[in-house]
Amino acid sequence: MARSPLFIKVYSGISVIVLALSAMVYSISVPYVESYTYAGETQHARMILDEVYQLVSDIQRQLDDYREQALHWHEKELQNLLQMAETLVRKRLGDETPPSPAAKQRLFEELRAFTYGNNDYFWITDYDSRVLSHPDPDLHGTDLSALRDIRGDLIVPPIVEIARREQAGFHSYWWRRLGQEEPSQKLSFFKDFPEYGFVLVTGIYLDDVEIEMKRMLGNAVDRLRQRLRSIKIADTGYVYIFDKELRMLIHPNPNIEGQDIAGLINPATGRLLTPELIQAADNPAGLSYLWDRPSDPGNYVYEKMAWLRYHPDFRWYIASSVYTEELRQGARELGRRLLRIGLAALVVSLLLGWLFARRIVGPVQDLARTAGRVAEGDLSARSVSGGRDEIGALAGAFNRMVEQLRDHIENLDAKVAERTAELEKAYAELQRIDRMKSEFLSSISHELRTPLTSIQGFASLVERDIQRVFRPLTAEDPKTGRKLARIEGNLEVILQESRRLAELITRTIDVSLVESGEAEWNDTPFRLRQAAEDALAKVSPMALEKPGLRLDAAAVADIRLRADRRYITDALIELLDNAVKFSTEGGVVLEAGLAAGEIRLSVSDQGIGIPPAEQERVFERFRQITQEDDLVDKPRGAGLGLTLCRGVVRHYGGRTELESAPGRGARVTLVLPARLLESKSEEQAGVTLDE
Amino acid sequence: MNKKICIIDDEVHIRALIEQTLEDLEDDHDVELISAADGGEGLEAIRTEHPGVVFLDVMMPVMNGYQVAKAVREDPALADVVIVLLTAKGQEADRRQGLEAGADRYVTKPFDPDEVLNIATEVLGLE
Repeated sequence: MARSPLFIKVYSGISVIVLALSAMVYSISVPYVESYTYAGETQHARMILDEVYQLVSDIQRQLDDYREQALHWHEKELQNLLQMAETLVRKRLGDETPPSPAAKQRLFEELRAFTYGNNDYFWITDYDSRVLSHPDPDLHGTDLSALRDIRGDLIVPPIVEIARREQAGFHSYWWRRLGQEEPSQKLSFFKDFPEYGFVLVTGIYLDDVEIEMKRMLGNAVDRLRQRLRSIKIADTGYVYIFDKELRMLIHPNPNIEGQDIAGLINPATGRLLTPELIQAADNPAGLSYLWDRPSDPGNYVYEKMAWLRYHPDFRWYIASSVYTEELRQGARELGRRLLRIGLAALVVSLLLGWLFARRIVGPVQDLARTAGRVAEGDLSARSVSGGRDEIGALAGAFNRMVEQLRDHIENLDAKVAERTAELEKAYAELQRIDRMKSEFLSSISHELRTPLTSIQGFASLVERDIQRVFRPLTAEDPKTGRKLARIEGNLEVILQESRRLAELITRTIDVSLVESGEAEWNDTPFRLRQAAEDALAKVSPMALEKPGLRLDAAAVADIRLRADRRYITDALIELLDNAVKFSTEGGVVLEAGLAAGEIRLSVSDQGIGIPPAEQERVFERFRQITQEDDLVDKPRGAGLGLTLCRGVVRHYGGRTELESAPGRGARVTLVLPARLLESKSEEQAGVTLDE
Repeated sequence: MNKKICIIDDEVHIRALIEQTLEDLEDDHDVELISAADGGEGLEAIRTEHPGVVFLDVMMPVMNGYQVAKAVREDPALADVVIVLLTAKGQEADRRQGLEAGADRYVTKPFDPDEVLNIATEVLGLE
């Protein structure tokens, strides 16, 4: 099956289509899938970064919420405390105005002794920013109108101003806690007591909020660290965070955390790495750089991608870092899988294609084999291809055809055998008759010669005797002399006619021998012109009897032939003889030469011509042009001439040609092969008829 | 040279023709003419008479001309007998067959009487 050309054609066609389609689908889909997957991985990496950014923002919001909550709570607390202190103020000072100095003294002493919370307290200032009461002895009674906090802001005058304007309010400034040197932010709430001419102030330090927030932030960062360590981008990609001061906050490698990364050098470029990272912040394209691998430390040839986002509130740089190779890995794996699936599909397709091609080609092959056997003659061969398809129909029709063919051939064989037997029988009979005819001709000719010999011989003897014996005796007897002369004339007629008869017999025998193939051929070189002259000499006496006739043999090429000169000459004689015999005027033209690689000897005349119906048969033995009236026009000749011509040219492998029309003369041509030329040079030397 | 001429032909007219052609030799040169009407008779005549020349027809009863010629040639005593075949066919094959059988010359029928006379004169060395 695999060597069948049809199978190879069909299967290779299917294979080419399948392979081409596969290659096309693969070449279109795989790069697309790979780039799509890579884009997806990249997108995923950025999404992780966004998620972390969101987490950080959440922490920020939580801290903000806490701070707001804590402030609100502190404000509430301050308001409550001041309300309580106000009650105390009104109770001690009463409605008396101005209050008694003793009452005031007592109130101030009470307030100075009262602390709450984390050493928080009440103090009182007059409208000139002079401290009327304060738990700190250093401040008690001092003028604080010019006192500024660590930020350079006035502390007391703004309080007095807000209190005089709005009766109560909050103010924040930096102050040192009681018993501590370090200032911290303090939130104060105050109320104006215009009837007493002072402002009551209390405040709490907000450092505990800051501390709490720091603690919360620390916890959040710890949680974030845990979270980030569990995050993997692709295989080994990770997220890390450093702050604006280029200190590493969160990194999968704990050794790096807390370290200053400002001096970190990009080994591949030799430049500082952090400016490049900062430059790439919030750029969706990220930063591509070369780095080493944990499995291949120190070899900075592996491409990495980094995306960064800057969180302005925390002033953090959140960065993700991943090996590009790992981002591509998914795409690669997908591509490989597609390839494997594609190859499997290809193998299956080719296998199915093989089966399909076999299914199609098998019956055709069987049909072809069967047809081949039939062609070689095995008519018992039948195609076994079945099925309801066209091939099955073809096989069925073919089998029926072979069946019919066998029937016909068998019939035909029988008929041919029958006919052949009949023909063989008829042919044998014909051969027998032909042989009989030849033998008859031969023997009749022989039998004719014997009496002819006597006639001719005795006539000669009589003539001789007359010459020798009787002629001298008639010298004195004129009458007897005249009689004798007449006898001599008659004898001459007898001799002439018997010579003619002898010649006829010779020709008959010649024709018989030539026709039966028994003639002796004596091929010798001779000049064609010589043979033509001999032939002309033979017929010229007869031609001279017809005054209107002229013999022309000018166009006979001077070539030398190697053939039987006698037969060639005889053939020319026969042609000339016929021409002279059947014409009374015009030219009898003998032409001979080379034309188209053949030797052509032709004789033409302007005689009575040959009717078309006769032209086929004039070459047959004893055949003459049918005379319209046999009684008026007696047969001229024995009808052997053209038969001899035909026999001679056939012997040399040539042919005869006849052109003629009734009343318009005839041209008979003897065509002989060029090999009869004596030598090759004759071909060049010979004058062709066309010339 | 033996001046005997043997004429062997089954045709009486041919025998007569040759006899008449050669009769002058009988008168002028004492040549003796011997005739036979068939091959057997002819061979017998040749053996007994030992002629100088024999005119021998081919187609004859009892023995044909070739057989007679062959028999003559097989007899060393008759080696000097000149055999002239009288053949009617005139074909190369017949001539060759005759020469192979032992004939020295041949004459084709119909022949000119002078031809026969010339041969006889020449062979017998007559004037």
